[in-house]
Amino acid sequence: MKLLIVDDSLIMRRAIERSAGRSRFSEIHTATNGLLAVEMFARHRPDVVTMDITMPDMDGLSAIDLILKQNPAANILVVSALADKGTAIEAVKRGALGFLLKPVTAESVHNAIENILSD
Amino acid sequence: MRQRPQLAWTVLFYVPVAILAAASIFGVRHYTRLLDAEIATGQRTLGVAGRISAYGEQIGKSILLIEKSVRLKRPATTAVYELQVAADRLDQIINAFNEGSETVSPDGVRFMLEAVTDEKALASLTQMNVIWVGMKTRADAVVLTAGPKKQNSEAIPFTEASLSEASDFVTAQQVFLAEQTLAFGRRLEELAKHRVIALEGPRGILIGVAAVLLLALPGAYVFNRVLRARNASARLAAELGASQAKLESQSLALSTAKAETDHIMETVQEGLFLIDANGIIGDYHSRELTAILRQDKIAGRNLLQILERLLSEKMFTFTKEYFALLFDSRRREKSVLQVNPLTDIEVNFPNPSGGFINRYLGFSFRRIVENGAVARVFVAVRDVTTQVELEKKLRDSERHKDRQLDILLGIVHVAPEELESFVKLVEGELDTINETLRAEHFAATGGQGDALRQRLQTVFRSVHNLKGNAAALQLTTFQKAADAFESKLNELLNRPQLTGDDFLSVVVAQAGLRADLGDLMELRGKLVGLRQPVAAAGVAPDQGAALASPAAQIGAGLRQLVADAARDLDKVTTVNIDDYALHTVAADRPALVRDVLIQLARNSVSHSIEPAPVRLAGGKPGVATLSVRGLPRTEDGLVGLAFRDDGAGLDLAAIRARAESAGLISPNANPSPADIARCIFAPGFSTAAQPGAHAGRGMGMDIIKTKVVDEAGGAIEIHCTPGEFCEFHLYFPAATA
Repeated sequence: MKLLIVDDSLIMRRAIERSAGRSRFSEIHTATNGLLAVEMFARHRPDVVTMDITMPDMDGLSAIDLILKQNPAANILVVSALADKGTAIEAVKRGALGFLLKPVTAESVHNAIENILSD
Repeated sequence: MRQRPQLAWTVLFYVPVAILAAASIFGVRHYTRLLDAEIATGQRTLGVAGRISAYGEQIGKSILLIEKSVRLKRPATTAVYELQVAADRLDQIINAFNEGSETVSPDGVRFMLEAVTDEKALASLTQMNVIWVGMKTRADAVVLTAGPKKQNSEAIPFTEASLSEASDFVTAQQVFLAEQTLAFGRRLEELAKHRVIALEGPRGILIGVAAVLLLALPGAYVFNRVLRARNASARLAAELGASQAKLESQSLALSTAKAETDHIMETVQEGLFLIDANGIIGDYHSRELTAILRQDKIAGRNLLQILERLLSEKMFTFTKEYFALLFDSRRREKSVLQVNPLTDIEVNFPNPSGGFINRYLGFSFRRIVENGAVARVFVAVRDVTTQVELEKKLRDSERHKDRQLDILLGIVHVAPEELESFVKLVEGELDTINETLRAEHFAATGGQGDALRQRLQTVFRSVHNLKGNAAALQLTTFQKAADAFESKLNELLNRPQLTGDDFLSVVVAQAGLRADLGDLMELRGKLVGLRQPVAAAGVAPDQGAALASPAAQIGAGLRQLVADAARDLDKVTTVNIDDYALHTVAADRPALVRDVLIQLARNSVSHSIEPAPVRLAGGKPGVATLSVRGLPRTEDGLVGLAFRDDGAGLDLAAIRARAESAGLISPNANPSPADIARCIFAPGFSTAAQPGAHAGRGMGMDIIKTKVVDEAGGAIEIHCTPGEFCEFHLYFPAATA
């Protein structure tokens, strides 16, 4: 299983990487903005993508569109600090499978990823 | 079930009846044959019997012929032969009747003639035997006489006379024989009749039985069919009854279930209902829904339209988008449920008695999928106001706890005396604010804009002073609270129009500060208990004495404040304080001196002192110096302190521009630098572009002037060389002895 973590904050990337766990994922890639995320997705074809929303160069919502254009079955979990309910709805509308509000805990990340992969 | 009676019927009825019927028919046939045989035998027997008289007659006739022939001497061969034959036949017949033997009937059939056993017949037969013996003797004799001569014959040939006698005898006897034959025949006929009757009886019975049995088969079949048809219709009726009973019990179960559902829907404390893709609410919903949504008729209405009136515009937009997602089967239900925007949504119901009723509602949704499409959505809604309020209380209490901890951490390093004087200061300022905000003042001033603005300025001065002191003691909680309060006041002051309602937030902020003060006092009380043992454990006595000195406290506070502010603003500053001079002036009025020096120090660091690179570029030492020294006692008996910084000093051009825009100086006037500098003491005057925690908003000088000049009866002088230094001379009345 491969994981792609998209977040412009190093601390968040580390936190998600630790929470997601090496046990489930044999490969973990990271990207710091939407553009890089789309590129990394094309290159590595990850099974799960965790996606920040507010990022430089390209935001998470646009990245979701481009990634789903590559693979409509991509499993995308949005991990955002935006408590705005509209953002969450927009993300699911565009095809994200889960929405997780920052700050995250190891448990919440783990559960959200399990939930996405459960069917 | 249905096959078994038929089988039983077949085995127990049809087969035996058929066998019996067959047996009966067989019996009938048997008896018919016996009867036929009997009738034939009887007729033959009767025929044979009838021959007796006939042969008797023949014998008589033959003898007469023979006698006549003998008399005429004619041969009587034919007659003799006929006599011989007749006598033989008659003899045979009589013997057959006597002993039973095979006989030939008159119609030429050989048959077995039974010996006669019947008494009456026997009587006739005996008579006939007797007659026949007599006749036979004579017939034999006649044959012997007239017939061909036979050797060794024992019979005595007749004479003519004896022939005549024989003829007479036979003729006479012939009549008797005929009579007896008749009687015998009748008897035989009677017997035959009896035998026939004896056979006909059982045959008739058998015919009857066979007929009954043969009739019984189709009869039973028909009966059986009728019975079965009746059974079938009875069974059908029973089945109909059963299915009706089943239907009734099912409908009872259904109505029970319906009643139970109704009970649930009547009593459940949640609004439960279904909506379709257009948001139309189904006909069936729980009673509580009307209470929760405060609407009477809900069935058939559009949930979105109901929500549109209750939600904010933004929330309603989210809700519309969310409903579209709920019915979009391409999106997983699990994902969609995660982003439900209506989990604890604030709604405003119009209050019948005016205004709004504020509640929190929690909606949850579940899809109902039919044929792969979302046909409807099940909605549950609860009034979660209590829950939300409790959560809010919990959060508030957590925040309060954090705040207390902040306050505690802030005050542990503050000497008790300093803390004591801070508490007094805050109490005093809060009282001032409270007094300023009293309702009757508003009523007295008629709520006019200018009067309100003036009150706000007063409040601002108090808050600003409080903030400065908090900063000096590093009581960041108070500093931040006061800063937020200032921002609010500033915002109000910048409004073109002010009304009494605008003061509500001021009152609230004031109450918040008072709550913080309450916490501080409570914590201070706890800390006293904590500190005493520490002091008892042997803290250096001179340190305690130093802390006890107001001048030392002010000095320490000032150094701390300047260090913090400089660090935050990226400036480097040292502080030189003439402790003796400070002590001389501050001993009688420590709070006033402290407040004023704090304000001046803050202004210096914020506005006057340049960042180190600027200073170096301007040929100044990188490290700026703030100093406090004593001034000679004036002729008026005032004692003085000089506060100096070697920063850029007052920006007279900026002050003039600000003073002109505030209407303090006419644009056409030609004021002296001193006149321009004096403007900084005007209420609300500020040159700071960006007010912040450290930056004075210009209110500082205003407070200083009020406190030093107006309240304490002192004086202030400014000595300033722009770009080099700025020095404030503060004079206070000397302490009265």
